[in-house]
Amino acid sequence: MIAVYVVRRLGEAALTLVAVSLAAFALLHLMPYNIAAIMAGPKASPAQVAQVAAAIGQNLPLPLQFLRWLAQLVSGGVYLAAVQAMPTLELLALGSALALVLAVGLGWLQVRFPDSLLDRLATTVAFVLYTVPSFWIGFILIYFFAIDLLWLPAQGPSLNPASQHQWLLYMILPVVTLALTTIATWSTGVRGAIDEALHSDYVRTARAKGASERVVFRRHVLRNVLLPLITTAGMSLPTLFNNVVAIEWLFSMQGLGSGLINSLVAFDFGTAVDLVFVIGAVTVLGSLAADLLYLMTDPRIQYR
Amino acid sequence: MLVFLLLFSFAGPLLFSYSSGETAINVSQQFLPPSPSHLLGTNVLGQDELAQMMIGGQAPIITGFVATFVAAILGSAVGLVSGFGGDTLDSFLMRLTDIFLSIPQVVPILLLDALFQSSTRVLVTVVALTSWPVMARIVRARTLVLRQMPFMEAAQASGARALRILWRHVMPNMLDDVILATTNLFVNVVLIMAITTFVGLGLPPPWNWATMFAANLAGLFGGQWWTVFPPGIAFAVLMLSVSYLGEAVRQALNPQRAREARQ
Repeated sequence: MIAVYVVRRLGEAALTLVAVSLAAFALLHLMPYNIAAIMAGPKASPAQVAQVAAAIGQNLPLPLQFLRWLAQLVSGGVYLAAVQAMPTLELLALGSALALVLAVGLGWLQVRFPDSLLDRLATTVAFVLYTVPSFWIGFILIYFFAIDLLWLPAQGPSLNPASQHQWLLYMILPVVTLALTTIATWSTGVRGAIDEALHSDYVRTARAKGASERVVFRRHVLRNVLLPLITTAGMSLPTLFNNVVAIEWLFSMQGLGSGLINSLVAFDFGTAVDLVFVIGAVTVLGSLAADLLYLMTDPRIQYR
Repeated sequence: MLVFLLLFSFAGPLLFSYSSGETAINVSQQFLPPSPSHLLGTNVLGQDELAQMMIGGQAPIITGFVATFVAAILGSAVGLVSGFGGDTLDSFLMRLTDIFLSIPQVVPILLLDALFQSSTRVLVTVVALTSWPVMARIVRARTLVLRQMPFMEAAQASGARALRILWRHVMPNMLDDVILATTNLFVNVVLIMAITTFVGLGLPPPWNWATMFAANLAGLFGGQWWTVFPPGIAFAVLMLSVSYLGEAVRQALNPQRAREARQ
């Protein structure tokens, strides 16, 4: 049962990835740019350009070029791109983890004190955060914490930080920026879910049995709220990535987003397609993983 | 609020004497703090910040509305076809929607933008072509509910043609959802364009609110907060006013459902 489901979803994910990289490949290769001429440089003679064109297989038919790219990807391109993906994955993981904790904590407080000043303030702030660009939140954070107070560096970590401690220090602002934009989209749902859980039969039963508020929250509410939130997190991965692009750019970080921009600007279309493939893999497999995790942890779900 | 912003961006430049003299590059007046002559100060090139804010609003607002409009129509069409069409068509369209939803929107936008060298027309087209899936999902879900309603059966039984059913029975019943989804779409569309513009692709010059961030990054590090705070606030005001407008229209159209949704 579950095996069939997993295989089907994996097949779909693979199909999506092939479709996406095929589209990106076709797009970049059908364009009227002479990539060989760009690679050879402005001073190259026509003979040299022809040589480069032959080396990168530009004269082959397009399907063959795609197979060539696929072979290149399998033989090493995917490894290079995965190395580039590490900072992005770290940012995504830490950012969404922080957002998760903050959204649940805030939602809990909001439901505990409904219609209080805190409740209304949190709703308003989340709404405002939802409407401003993510990088602007980063601007504000940089302005206050890096420039005014001089507490934190205004840049993301380099690829080879001197120490774990330093890496963490440089990571704080980008992670907080991502978390703040993400809370904005999650918090309404989380507040609703907690509210619903608190008014459910199982919580009333738990309370009737004399469980303390704390136990009720940890054992009953939290578990039931976190599960669907995993799916939400998986589904919002693409949106998160949109913001990661801006955040990587703002904090001058190495990563998938800035890598894609740099390769596009430099007409390095081979690398660009590799990166598109890896970005697709991260978001598609990420949401697949979230779905599977949900399936395995919640026995009530029926797989189709 | 929205009216104010529209006036600010489109009539503002005409009303004030902020003509070429104020927007001209004048490096000797770099980073002047806010003062009576420059209400929001000046930027890295000595241009007046207030004048930039006014003109800078035009591109995001126009492109945002156009892209949202196209995406909303496209998404509604796909949603309706998916909801009313057969199972095969439905599952094909939903699979397509899934593919679109599983890829970050910035990827296709950046690719096409880099290829076509930041053209507004291309940007609006790509943003519209990648934004419709959310809309399609909402409209499809609503269509599936409406299809089961007794009044639909009555309409069909009375021999109404498909178009008449769509126009008289389906449209009015999902208009509130569509409008709310459209305002959310607008927020999403404007933000995604802001991101791509901020990283150096996206909307081409003349400047707009998003390029003002990138251009004034140096100002931020020099402590010239007035160069980067106003465009962000402008974005927030624009989105908030559009969102509230959507909420208000939704309530006017269908007070009962709006109240249910809020509880």
